[in-house]
Amino acid sequence: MEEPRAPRHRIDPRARWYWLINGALGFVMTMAVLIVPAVVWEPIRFWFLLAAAVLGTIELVVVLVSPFVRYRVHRWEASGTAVYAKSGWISREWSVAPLSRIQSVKAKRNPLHQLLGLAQVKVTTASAYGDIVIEGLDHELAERLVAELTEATEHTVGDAT
Amino acid sequence: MVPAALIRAVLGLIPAALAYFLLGDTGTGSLIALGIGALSLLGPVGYVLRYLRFRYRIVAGELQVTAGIAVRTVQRIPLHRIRTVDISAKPVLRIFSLALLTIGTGQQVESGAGALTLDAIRAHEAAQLRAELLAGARRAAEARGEAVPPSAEATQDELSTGRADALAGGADAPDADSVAVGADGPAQAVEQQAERTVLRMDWGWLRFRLLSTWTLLVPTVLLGSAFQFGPLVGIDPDTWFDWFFGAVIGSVPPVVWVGALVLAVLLIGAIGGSLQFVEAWWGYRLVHEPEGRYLVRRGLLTTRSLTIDPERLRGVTLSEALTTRLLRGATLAPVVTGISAAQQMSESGAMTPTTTRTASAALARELLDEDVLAPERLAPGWLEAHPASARRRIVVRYQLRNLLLAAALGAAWWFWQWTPWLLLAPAVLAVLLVPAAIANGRTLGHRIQDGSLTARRGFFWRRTDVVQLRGISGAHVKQSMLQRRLGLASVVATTGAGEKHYTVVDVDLGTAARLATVLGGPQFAEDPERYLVTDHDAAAR
Repeated sequence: MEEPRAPRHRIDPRARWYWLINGALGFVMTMAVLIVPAVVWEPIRFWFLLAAAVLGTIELVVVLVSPFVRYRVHRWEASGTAVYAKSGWISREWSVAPLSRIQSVKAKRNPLHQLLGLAQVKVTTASAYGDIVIEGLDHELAERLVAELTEATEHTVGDAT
Repeated sequence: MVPAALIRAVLGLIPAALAYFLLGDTGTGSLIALGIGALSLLGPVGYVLRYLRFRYRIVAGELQVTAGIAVRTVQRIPLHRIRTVDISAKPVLRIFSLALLTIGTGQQVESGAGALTLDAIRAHEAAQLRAELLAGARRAAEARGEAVPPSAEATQDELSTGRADALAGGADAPDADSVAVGADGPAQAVEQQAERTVLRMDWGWLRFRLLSTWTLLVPTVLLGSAFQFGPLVGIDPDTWFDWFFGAVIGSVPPVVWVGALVLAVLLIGAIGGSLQFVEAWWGYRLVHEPEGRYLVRRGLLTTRSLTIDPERLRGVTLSEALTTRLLRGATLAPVVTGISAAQQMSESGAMTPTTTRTASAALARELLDEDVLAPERLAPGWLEAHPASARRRIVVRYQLRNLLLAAALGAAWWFWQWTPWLLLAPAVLAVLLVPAAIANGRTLGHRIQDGSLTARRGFFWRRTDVVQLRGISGAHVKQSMLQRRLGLASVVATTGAGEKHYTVVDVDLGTAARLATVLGGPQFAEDPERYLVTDHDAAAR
């Protein structure tokens, strides 16, 4: 059982913090949505607290484990022919977008990205299912990647539409 | 256009009038009727307002559409972006010789916004505009150096083929085919001889429709709405049921009443299905136009047309539902670039009704110029079989879903006192699903040959996708947790065409990597020659 080749680069180590903080924020939101009504309104208290306990435990495990597994699994590379990335934590996904098929390359930075000096790079093709998202790149590297990819794709013809 | 809107308004008021008469002249009754009436007037009024100052023109290589009084909206579409132009006409529009133009562009594909529509255009103008837009799109694409089909200049011929009459008048209009025989004089015969009929209606195809899930679905929906709306009209279906179950069931043997019930449901389904089928497919013809495009025209009350440009064709999908398969039937759908998924899935987006397998294979050969669905390719052995563990995954998947059903029915029994006899269904299914899963596993297959990927899967709804490699824009190898345990993976070929992604399900990981190499590029197997952002390389490793 030969796996597909692993892409060349690992993502930035700070990506672990990104996922951890992001997950923690999501965890707090879930808890707030479930616990606040439980405190305020007595009749639903038991069921909402039960839901909070079950969902909270599951989410906590996901939040604490997945960033570190993801950091070990996620890899990426951009070459003269394609963008190639691997992702997942309990599942696996290897994705290729050939340069000749790329329609746009974007770097995105939300406030958390900015705080950690990271960026997310998104490569789109003509297919709505063909996006390749590389999370957790150093923001300067991401900018250079976008520039070089845009430059490289300009020299290719046709996007298979 | 205004008269059409008026008729729509009158038609729209019918529910309000019904409500008024049915609910009586009581306070709440009038209020409800008034509310429904006001709501149903909103649509037509907005429609008139939008189209009151409606203008379109083709200028400087783009189509400009302006509309609205208070809020002027301007839409501009570069001609080279236009991929399809289709004409349809609902009955109200047809009375006034109007038509609806649907313009599909490559740009809107991603957003899934569907397409731009020009409503209530005079039918003959619609046909002319379609020809102009398609010709303009072709010229613009040519100027940009994109793929240009031969005989682009022939499009002007279309202006004189009388397509507007055919569309406005539906099946009663002069049939282009009969003209082509030469009955109406040599001049017209010469002009139209190049339009060749590829496929026309065979009413025997109705059998596929009758033996489909629709036949059961329609009566179920009818029964449901009877319960919903019956009381409004003063009929209470509950009393009927009490009468039926109380009086009838007690007095006749179960075989008789169960038989009668099943027969009634099937009869209602058959009649409903037939009517719908006749309306949708009346006068169905798929023709090859002189300029190379294929055109589908059909419909009894609402006329529909569908254009298929062979230049934008990237493959076909053959669907064979379990019941259809028993009758050796199949449905063929084109895989076309430049139309949104919504457009592809829409009712008027269908290329053929469910036909025979042979007719579908012949049509696929006609469209793709290659016998991609030849009998030997559909026979066992041609496609590469998938590993036995794939079958195990299907068994697990089927039984998990069955378990969900059992849990839902069990909960319904526990909480709402539904009859526990319903739990028999998942018990029986648990047994039946085993051979189904094994048959599903045998169905799985894939092969890359002559520049196309062929992939087959499904038991209840079997599908065979044939997608040309030139239309594929990327590849993904995916593994779920269960797939990782079984050493399996699915390969997703992404494309701008058709359903935007086509999947080869459950091959072993090594095969998946090899397939992905062919579909997406060598990266899956070997190091590339040159990396980008190499200055970062040392730091990143």
